[in-house]
Amino acid sequence: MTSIDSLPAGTQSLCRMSASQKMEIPRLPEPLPLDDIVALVQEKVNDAVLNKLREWAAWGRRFASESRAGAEMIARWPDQVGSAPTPDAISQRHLLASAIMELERDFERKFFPILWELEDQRKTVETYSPQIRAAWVGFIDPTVKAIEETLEIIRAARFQLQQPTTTGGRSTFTLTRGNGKAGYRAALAYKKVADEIFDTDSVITIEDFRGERYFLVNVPVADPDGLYRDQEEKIHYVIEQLAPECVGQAVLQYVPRSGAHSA
Amino acid sequence: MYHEVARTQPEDFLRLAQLLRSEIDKSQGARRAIAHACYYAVYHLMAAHFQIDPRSRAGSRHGEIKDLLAGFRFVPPVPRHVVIARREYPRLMLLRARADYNLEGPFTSAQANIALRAAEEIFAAIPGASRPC
Repeated sequence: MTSIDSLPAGTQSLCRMSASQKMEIPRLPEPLPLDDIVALVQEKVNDAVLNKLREWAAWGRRFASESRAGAEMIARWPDQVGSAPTPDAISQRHLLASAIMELERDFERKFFPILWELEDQRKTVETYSPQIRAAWVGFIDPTVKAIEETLEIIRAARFQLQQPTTTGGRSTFTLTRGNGKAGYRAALAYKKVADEIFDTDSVITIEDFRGERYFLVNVPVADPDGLYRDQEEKIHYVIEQLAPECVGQAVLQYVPRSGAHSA
Repeated sequence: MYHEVARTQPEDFLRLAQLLRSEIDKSQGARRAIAHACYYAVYHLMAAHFQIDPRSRAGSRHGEIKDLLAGFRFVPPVPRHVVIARREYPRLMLLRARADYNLEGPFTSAQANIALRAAEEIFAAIPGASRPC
């Protein structure tokens, strides 16, 4: 079995680091104080508010530049392992692809909520004065672009590593703001309801299979081979009532509860 | 010798899966065939519902049927079998893909049972339809 030691020196240390260490995950700036928001709504704009927004915009541009640099570093990883169809090279590619996938998942977990937050902000600022709206969008646009581009670069690097051993695959899955956000949001909704009904703490995983992305909610149960019809009926019913747009966007699957064992 | 053959219906796929039910615990191949047949039973049922011609690639891809179902809204009310199909389609799709393509990992009886149960529920909810036995 190929170990990290067999990878080229440049990639070894990257694989050993945890996903969150591989890239500095920036934080969203603090929201505006309530008084400022009220002032914005009432269009009593003062220089301090505008300056704050300009600071955010500068932060957004810096974030875009830094995250792109990080992603481009990852984009060079595939070139550091061989592309020959030998068992060693294939193992190295698998190992590196796994490391990149881990990072990709980590990035998605951290940044999808930020994307949603920015989307909400974008709707809110539509009601503000043109001056404020322009300043605010100056922060939102580079931040959203940075998140989306970074994810696309990371995904392309992983796909490049997986490509030589992929057979019969369809076209590449392209993560878009629409499918990624909707799927993850649906998985969170399903998790929340499933956790209530099963009185457990389920785990969301993402599975890419033949060009389709599946958001899985892994529910720990005593008997993972069981058919949980009544519970599933309740879960779907609740989701249909509370978040109908989430129905059919996540897959429930059952895993052994720790301490339990199936026959 | 040629026989006149009736048009194949989506439920014919489900009947095949039900025929294989007795083999679920005995045969890996049967389990995979069940997941495959159950998925295509529902795929063709939904293609017919959305008036999509599965012979034409445009609009009839698996992900596109999934997206059509996911994008459904309940106003006006939709038939019960479509409501259930909307819930179950991604799982059936994933199980079918695993059954057909992932020969590395085992395909369990539980997975086959889940696929069969989901397809049966969908077909049983069709108004006025005779339930495949």
